[in-house]
Amino acid sequence: MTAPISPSTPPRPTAAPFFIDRSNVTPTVEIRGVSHFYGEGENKKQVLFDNDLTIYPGEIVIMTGPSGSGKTTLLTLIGALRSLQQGSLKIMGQELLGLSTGEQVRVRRNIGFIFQAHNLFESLTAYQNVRLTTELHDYTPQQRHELPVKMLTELGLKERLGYKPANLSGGQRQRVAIGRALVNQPKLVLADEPTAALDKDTGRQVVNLLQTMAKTRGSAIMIVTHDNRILDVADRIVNMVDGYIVSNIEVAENIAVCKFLQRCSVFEGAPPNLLTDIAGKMKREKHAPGSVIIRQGDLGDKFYLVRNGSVEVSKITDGRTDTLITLKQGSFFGELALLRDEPRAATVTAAEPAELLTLSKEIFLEVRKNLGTFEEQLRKANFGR
Amino acid sequence: MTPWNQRVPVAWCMLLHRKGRFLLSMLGIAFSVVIMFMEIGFSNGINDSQARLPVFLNADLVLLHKARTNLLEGDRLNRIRMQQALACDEVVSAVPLYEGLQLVVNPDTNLVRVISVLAFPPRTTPLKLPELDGLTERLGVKGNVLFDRLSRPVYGTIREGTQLTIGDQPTTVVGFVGIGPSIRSDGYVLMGNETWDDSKAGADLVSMALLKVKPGTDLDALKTKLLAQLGEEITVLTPEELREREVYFTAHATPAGGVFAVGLSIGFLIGMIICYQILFNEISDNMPQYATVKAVGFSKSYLVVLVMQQAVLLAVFGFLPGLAGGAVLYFVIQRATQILMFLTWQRAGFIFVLTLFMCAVSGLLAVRKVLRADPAEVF
Repeated sequence: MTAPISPSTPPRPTAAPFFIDRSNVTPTVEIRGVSHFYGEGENKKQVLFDNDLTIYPGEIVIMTGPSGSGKTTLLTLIGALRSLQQGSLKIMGQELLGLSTGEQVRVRRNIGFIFQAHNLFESLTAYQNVRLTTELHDYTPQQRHELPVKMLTELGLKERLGYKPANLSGGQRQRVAIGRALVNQPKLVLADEPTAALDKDTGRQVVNLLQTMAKTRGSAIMIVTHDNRILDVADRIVNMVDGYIVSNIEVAENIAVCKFLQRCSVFEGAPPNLLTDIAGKMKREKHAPGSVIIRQGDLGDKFYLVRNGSVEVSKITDGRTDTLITLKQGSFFGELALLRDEPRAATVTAAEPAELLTLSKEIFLEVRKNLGTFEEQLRKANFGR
Repeated sequence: MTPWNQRVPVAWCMLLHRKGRFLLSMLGIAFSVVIMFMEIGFSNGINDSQARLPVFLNADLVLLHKARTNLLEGDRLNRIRMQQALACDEVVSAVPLYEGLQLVVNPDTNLVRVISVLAFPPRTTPLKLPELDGLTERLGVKGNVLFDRLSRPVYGTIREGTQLTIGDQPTTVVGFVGIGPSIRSDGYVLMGNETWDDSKAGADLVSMALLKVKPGTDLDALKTKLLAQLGEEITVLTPEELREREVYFTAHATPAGGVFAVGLSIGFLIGMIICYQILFNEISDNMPQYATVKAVGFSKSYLVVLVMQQAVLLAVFGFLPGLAGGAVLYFVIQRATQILMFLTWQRAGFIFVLTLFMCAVSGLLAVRKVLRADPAEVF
């Protein structure tokens, strides 16, 4: 089982490399060491194991994983629908651990919930269903009327304001439910399979809408889904298995890293899924200008890729230091010592603030072993069908 | 807190959503309301009918034997007491009233029935009955009687001149007055005291003595005075006090009161069960919605208020048809049985409060289910 991995502040190496400096931004969701148990005594069963996850404003996070992996439990914990048992969970800076039921209710008012089953009141019109949630906040009478109307208009339901759910299609109902979740413009939206009951086109519409909301309003959106048709909206994909977050991939960054890796001769011929795999296993380091990254003569234990900034490679021959080359974004170094199992042949120093991605020797060699020839890969691909 | 006028009327919409069901709910509650109306109607009807006589008494004070705790039975009062009362300056007149049960033969069928007899000296008007003024003189003729035209039709066809055998005595009906039946007998017959003397032994014992006093007399002071002067044997009451005492006696000292209390409770319980059932079904149908409402941040009190609102609405909308049904039944029953069925504001108000209470209790029972809705289950 892979250890839980998460982004964090330097100099601690992390697995999910990112390049946007967010040190000044309060994360919308900040999960540290969260475990959860169901049952009591002998029947006590752990469903979440020491999970870390951070979600920033404006991010769309898609959480996937087999059923029973703890996704929904994590979602209910984030939504303050369950009491946190262990670890720390902050929503917009507020710690949820130890909150009373009443305080949990107050936290929930600032979260938009979209449920798989829309759970609209059959007896209320689309407008009333959306308006109901405005009662959780202070508005003027005028706002209380206009907000639901505006929201439903944005959702393309202007003509359906007075319709009850029974007279709406599945997609329209889900859109009303989304309107209900978004009418108060929450900073955090939690959605559970929002597209499960919808056809392809309606599902796409709904997801695009969520994306617009995230980007224009800076809301963080967390979607639990099995629907891979909507993965493209994700800024980050979190995969959960058996109560652990096994991967937490920032999609744009992952793609950028994969592109670099693809150009590395040492990974020549690696298929995309292997590249993503490698990208996911890389750790991140930051180095100040002038700091030594590897020293000539040391034993090699890592492979390096320059993510940002530049490094200088120098070699000491007969007591004289020669600067050989400056490596920029996308270049790699440190592979020879690993491949040949020899000491480092040169010293590498950060020339300017440098952000490096590293891969441990074991993983590097493992990946190399799996590369094989093109023919071998074809055979594997056919076998895997 | 969102002001009420800006809130979505969820409770109202939920009830109205299924119109057929709402109608049935209304009728179910109305049914129990009607049962409750009937029970207090009968209870009050019997009390009122039983206490009918004091209402008609044309007196400022009524003198009774102390042992006569109610008008149904008890010792009679010696006429001497009446004379003693007259000795008081404040007392202007005293009229003896004899009351008793007699058997009367239905002239049509020759079946024997019980009838209440009231006797008093001719040319006095001890009863506030408009017809009596012109007829009281005719009671001076021995054997003449006045018949209660509001009595139940069990005495056969009675007309002026009909010969009636009351007790063993032949009498002639010479006129009609309107009093109405009680639970003890189906009607009244009025006669002169001489006719009474013939049929009953012990004419020196009166059922009650009706006193008229000088205008402006302090009745309480006079009562005290009479009690002091006439000894321990008497009770002196105003007709209104007598009526209240009679109602109280019927309600509390006879099994009738208890029977109706049980009936009322059954009506209440039926209504409560019906209302609980309605609310419970409504809640069961909307459980995911309630859980959702809870999940998105509405407090428990919002849900409690929501259910209680429905309960109150059910109470109001069940009460109205129940009231209408009750009113119709009161009218029909009074017509058919001559039992007094008054639908007073107080009685309607009492039943309304009971209905509200009934629905509120079922609301509180049903609301527990809502509170159990787990918001974590909606995901």
